[in-house]
Amino acid sequence: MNKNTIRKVVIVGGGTAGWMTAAALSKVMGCQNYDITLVESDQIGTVGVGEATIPMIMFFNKVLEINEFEFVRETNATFKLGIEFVNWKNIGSSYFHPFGLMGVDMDGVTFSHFWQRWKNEGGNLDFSKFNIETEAALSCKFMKTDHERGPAILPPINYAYHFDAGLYAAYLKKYSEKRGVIRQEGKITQVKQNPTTGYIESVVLESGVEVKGDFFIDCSGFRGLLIEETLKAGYHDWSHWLPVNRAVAVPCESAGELLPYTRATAQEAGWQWRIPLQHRTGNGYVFCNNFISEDEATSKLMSRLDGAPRAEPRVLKFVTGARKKCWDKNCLAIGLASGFLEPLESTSIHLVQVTIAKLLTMFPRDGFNELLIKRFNDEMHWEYDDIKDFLIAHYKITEREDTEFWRYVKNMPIPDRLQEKLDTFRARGEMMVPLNELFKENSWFSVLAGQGFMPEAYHPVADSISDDELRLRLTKIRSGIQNRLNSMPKHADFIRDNCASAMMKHA
Amino acid sequence: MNALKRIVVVGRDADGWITAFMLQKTIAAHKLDIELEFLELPSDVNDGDFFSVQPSHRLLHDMLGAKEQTLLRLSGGMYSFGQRYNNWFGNGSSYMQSFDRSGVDFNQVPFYHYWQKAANSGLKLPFEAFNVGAAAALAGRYVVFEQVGSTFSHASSGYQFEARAYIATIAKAAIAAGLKHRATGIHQVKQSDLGISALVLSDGSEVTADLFIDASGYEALLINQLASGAVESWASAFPVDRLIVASAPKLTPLPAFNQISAFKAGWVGIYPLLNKTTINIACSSKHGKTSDVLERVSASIGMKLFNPVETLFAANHRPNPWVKNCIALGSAATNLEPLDGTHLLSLHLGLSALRGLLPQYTDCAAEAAIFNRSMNKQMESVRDYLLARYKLNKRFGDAFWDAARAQTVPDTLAYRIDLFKSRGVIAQMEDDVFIPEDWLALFVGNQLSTSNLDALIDKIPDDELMSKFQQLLTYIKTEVEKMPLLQSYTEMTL
Repeated sequence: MNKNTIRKVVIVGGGTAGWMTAAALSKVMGCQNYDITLVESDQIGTVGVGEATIPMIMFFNKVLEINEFEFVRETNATFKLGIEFVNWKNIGSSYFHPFGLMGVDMDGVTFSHFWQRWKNEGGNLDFSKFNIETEAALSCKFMKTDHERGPAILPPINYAYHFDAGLYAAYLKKYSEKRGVIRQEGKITQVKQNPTTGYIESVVLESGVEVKGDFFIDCSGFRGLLIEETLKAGYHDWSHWLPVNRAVAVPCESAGELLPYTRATAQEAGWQWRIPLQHRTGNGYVFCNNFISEDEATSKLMSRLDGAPRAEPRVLKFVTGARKKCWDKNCLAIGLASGFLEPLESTSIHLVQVTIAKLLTMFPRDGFNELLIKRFNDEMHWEYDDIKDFLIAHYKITEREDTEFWRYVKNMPIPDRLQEKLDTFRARGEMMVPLNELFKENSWFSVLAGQGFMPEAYHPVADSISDDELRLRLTKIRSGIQNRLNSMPKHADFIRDNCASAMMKHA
Repeated sequence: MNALKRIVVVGRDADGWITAFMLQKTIAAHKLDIELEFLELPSDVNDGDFFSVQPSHRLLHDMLGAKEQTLLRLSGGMYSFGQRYNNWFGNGSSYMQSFDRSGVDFNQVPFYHYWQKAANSGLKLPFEAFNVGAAAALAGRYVVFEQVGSTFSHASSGYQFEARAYIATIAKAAIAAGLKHRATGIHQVKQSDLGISALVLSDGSEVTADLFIDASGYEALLINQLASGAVESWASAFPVDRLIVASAPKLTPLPAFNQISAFKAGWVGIYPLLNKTTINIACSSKHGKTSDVLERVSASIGMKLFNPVETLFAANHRPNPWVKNCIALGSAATNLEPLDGTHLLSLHLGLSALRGLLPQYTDCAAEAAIFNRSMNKQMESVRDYLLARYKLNKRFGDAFWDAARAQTVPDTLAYRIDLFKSRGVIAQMEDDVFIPEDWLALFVGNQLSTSNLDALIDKIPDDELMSKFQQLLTYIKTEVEKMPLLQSYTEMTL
């Protein structure tokens, strides 16, 4: 008979990752059978700076049965339909990577093939005009479509959120504590391991309190207090492909219309994010200090804000890469402790959530199985690896050569697998993305075509209909999008009517 | 008899170019041994001028071999699936008139009778609720049917164009097709017993021809010189003596119809174009100053008007547009305000008639008689159609409109109105330009009705009639929802 030998779970670190883990464990595993303790110290700041997410966050919130509008209100959140990439192809260019589908898949192939044929025959509309999220975003409009009246003839509007990560952690903390998670305040000064197995047995706090556990979740951030500093799991360094290694972040006053999207503007030695929240705008310059100094990057950032700064800028350091083992012995790393990928495609919180989902799927009952741990580590590696390739592509296909940074990324060697993907895309107008990868055909197409990396051919199935039929189909799709767009409220109005926080600034 | 060997078209702008191009095409198509020359007069077109034309105008384009979409794109044009008439029965009133029929006949009795009966018993739906074209226009759709050969709709569209671009496009095509032309002025029109013997041009040279076409516009340079070619004023029936054309920004979402709104001293038309909106004010200088009118119109339609250009206008008609060897076409023959897409209509009708009557010999008295008779009837029927809107208005207390309502109308129009009032029947006359469904929509829209409905309508029980109505409405709604937005259609095709 199996017995539950793993009863006491200790989460080390209380940032976004820590409290997301605590919330999920308390909801799914429950605190009747498990003791869940989260150790955090008020002395240690968290990294979260106004986070942008991707639609997968919905699954997480759904599992937690979180009320969406309450969550939006509590975290000063706004809605996000995608990312606008400015100056990536070249200076002055811009494209949008939307969530959701472009057009409608037809006859078994994606819309993009039909669009390419139509374009080849003289069609004049950009593919982004066939995507409702892009159209709504650029008109500053937003609505949810789950309660849309009439028959569901169009796909739903896909969205995610921008929120204040600090408030999100606080919200989940309340949620977790209500469900029985014990918060233990204190700075960890010592990690005790079993002298023979090396398993972690407890963490000792500055106060002398010792917190024992069967299973330790390392959410301690970049440093990886348990996974790296204690267990020496090792790190894959990817900074030769993704050279940015610093971010300077600063919030500023809201300015202009409330945008329902993140903006990522390529700069001289990296890129700058702009994340609109209800009460302020989050900004940051992600750069590589080999190409620009911290001081210069900071002053560039400060000079490019569209509202008055609301705090002192702060600099974060990181090395892009992934932990060689996210799970080692009785310690599993989640969040920045497991690896770091720049937030260009807003994947940080997603990776936290993916790790949590895998943790729940593979949660051990009576001991730690090496095969299971290997499987977990392999899967985590794939997650990081796929996203890494997608991020590299953004840089590699640039036409920019105006600074040393851009000359470097444009000319750097890239992973073989990415090269194969790009070659396939060039030849066929599709990636043939494996099912388990996060970024699907639509994302690749939006980014590659958006940056001018156009395919040379399209799928022969798109040739199977007549010119008139093709134009009519495309017109109807375009019409459905415009018709829906015409009925959509402004993003700011939608929030004001449904989920405004007390701090919402947009009058 | 002498064979007709040489035709000279004296003209400008749309009238001139279209006439010359059409003749060029006809001569080429039939390999006629006729020499054609186009003497092009300086343009009269103002900034912002536009053409609003009926669906039948596409036949003219067909004659010219012009591709609809290319022409629309090059001339900033747009489709309109109907015209909405606002405030013609007091401010706030409104109805949509499409280029389509309303309802279907049951037991060979026109749908109108059933609808009137239902309306009399309290049905609140307007007549055009049963009209696919009107429903599509209101929903901003481009009419395309899911199944080929829709059961009862033949909805189609009129067009609007930017005048200058439209003319330039046609001129370019005409020149490319080999049209012989030169830009000049007419110094003198020399006459003989045969009509015009020669034209003295501004450089002093003389031009002769067997047939002269006067497409010189309102000026009517040639026909005005001929004794029996005099013009007859229609200004007493049509009080509008000023046209003001202005521009406004593009409308979003793009409407699929024009709006014609009556106001104190005239009417204002709003015409969506590909890249902007054109505003046309037709008013009477006796009922207000231009500046006041502009201000009032701008406020009432809620749009800022740019570059207003005012021109004088007088409705008129030439009872003998073909005199001896001279034929007046377009504005040289007839001028009517563009209330119902009537820009270029006189030209189109004249060209169609001429194409069927192109003389073989220099003696063409027989052709002239047929042409004149037909053109008179046709233009009178168009006049009656526009006049009906004035006559049937219900804007009480506005001097402009009170006078329009009080006027005595021609017998032909009086007969049409009386017949409809007494029996719900649309009179059909020889050479009618507007078809019965147009007249019906106009009458019903203008709140004309009859109490003498067809006795056969009672054969259908009320509940059965209601269920037939419901079916129609459902069909229309479903069909329209499947149509693409005009905005999308034009984006994709123009």
